[in-house]
Amino acid sequence: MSVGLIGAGQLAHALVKGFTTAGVIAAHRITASSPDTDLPTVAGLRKMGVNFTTSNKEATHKSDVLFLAVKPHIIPFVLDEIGPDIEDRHLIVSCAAGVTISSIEKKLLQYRAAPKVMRCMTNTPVVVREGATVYATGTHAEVEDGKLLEQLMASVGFCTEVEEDLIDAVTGLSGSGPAYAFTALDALADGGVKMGLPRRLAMRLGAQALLGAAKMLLDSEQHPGQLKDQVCSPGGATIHALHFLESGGFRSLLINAVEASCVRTRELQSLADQENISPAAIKKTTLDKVLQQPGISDTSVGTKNRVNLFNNRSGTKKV
Amino acid sequence: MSVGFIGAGQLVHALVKGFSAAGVIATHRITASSPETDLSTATSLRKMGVNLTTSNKETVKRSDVLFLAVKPHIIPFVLDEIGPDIEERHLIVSCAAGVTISSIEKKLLQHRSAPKVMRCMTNTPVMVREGATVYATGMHADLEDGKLLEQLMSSVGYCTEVEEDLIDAVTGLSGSGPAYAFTAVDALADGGVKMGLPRRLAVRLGAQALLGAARMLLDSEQHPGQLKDNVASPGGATIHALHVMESGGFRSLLINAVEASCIRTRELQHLADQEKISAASIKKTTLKKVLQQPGVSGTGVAVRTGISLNSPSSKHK
Repeated sequence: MSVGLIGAGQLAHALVKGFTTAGVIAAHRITASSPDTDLPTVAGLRKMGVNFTTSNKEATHKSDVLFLAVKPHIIPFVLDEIGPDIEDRHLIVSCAAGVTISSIEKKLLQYRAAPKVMRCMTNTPVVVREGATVYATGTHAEVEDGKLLEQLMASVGFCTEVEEDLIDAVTGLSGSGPAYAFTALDALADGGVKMGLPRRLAMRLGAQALLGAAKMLLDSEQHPGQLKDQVCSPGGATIHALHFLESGGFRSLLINAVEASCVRTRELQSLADQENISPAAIKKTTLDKVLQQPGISDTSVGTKNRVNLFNNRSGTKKV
Repeated sequence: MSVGFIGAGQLVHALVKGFSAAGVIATHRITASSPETDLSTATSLRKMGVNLTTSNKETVKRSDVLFLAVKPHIIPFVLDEIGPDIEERHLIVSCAAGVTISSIEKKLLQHRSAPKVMRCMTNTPVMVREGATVYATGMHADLEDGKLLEQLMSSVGYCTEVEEDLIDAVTGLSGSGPAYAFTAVDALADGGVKMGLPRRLAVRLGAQALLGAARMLLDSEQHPGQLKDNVASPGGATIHALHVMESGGFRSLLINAVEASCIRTRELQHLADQEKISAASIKKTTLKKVLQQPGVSGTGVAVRTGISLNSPSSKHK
């Protein structure tokens, strides 16, 4: 089995690092593509032994499972470009926040009768094999396809299937979650430094405390509130600290964060659905590199960002 | 080597669970004591194969490394009780927040010329072998004693030696830290449920996201701010979320929490140093059970709780 990744940024890098560490697939069976060779992650991918190419079509040809790991607004361009190259064997897995399975299927149906599409939301800790991934299965993907994806993603963390309508909420929670944690860790270390600890030790202890607590929770049947109670001895230091958190509305800030991320995800999806893809959405320099790839015709990609000579809507012409 | 615990509560349970999972010591070589036999943790300890007793003196006799895992205000009573039984081989490790090495050495010096005392601050995730522990070494404890303790505690998580004056700050950070994390996961799960996720999945994803992020930071040379930047794509969902957190002073709340826990720890230490041990600080029912133990004399323990007939102050003879 070969894996391809359209995109060679943070997520592609994290996934490849996780997969290769897990030993679930060899690096030489992975191909990643991006027109942008200056990304720092590209060097990282090359070092890991991945086949790197500037041609999305080549990545498609060389893969069975094809991850779409580019920003949401780039997805339509990519689908137009690789649509003709999708075969029966391909399993397309989109990792783009807010991009629906049906929007991807709609595009690919122009090229193929039964495109196998799945959608997943994962997060960067896949890089250390502690990711959180959910996936939803499209109309033409089978149970076996789901199992295959689950096998891949379970090698790099927690993975479960969900209904597609939950994915935006998952984005807000575990997709963005690591950023909330990094912010918290920075602040906890500041607290430790304020009270006299050297910075490195403070960071180490803060991260270890969060890690240990999260592991306890995952391994336990108990409610987080129960576990919190057990750490709070009467009149002790911890309950004094918790009072400060509660007084400042700590919990509410986290609920707000999950909500804000989820709402923004839905917003991005809604913008994408309206197909208000501005001609400026893809950089001319990038487009230029894409057009230089073998097999790309002007008509398949170019119409998206230029006014079509035959009609004014920015729809794709059938090739 | 045998390990003893004075106390059989949450911390003891967590340490024993971790040690036995790590295989660093067999449970039958562990003794734990508490006058309270109906603690739920005591039952679990028995199930794990630990020798459970109501006699602190028995624990002392059966151990080489002796952890003091009782609440800070109980420490003086315990030291009075077991003082006469401490031998040369004993390494006393106090886990009590805010109790200084010198206060423990002072008490034990009444019974022994060079008591080997260490002080550590750990946390409950030792239970899953992901604890965070620091320790400081007392006057009469050797380098080897430190190495021995470090070996034990490293089997259940991160462990490093520090100067004693840092321990209160560590209490505020990683001692109390798990409680901040449990609160955070509860809230994150609420957020997930608000946006439509089933509770179990929301708790799972929230905890996994925290765990993964913490693991990334520990394994990385990068600054947490850099790692945060890497997750926040332009105009994306994450940066929107981060803004609402910053608007609410999220970071400040966590700094406040670490500070509050540390200050309270120093307060407790200060109260203990003043030896304002109230007569009511130990329950009469508990005291009675302690006094029933073989070898415990009324003068050793009771003088702490009752007004001495010879002088109005509750100081030891």
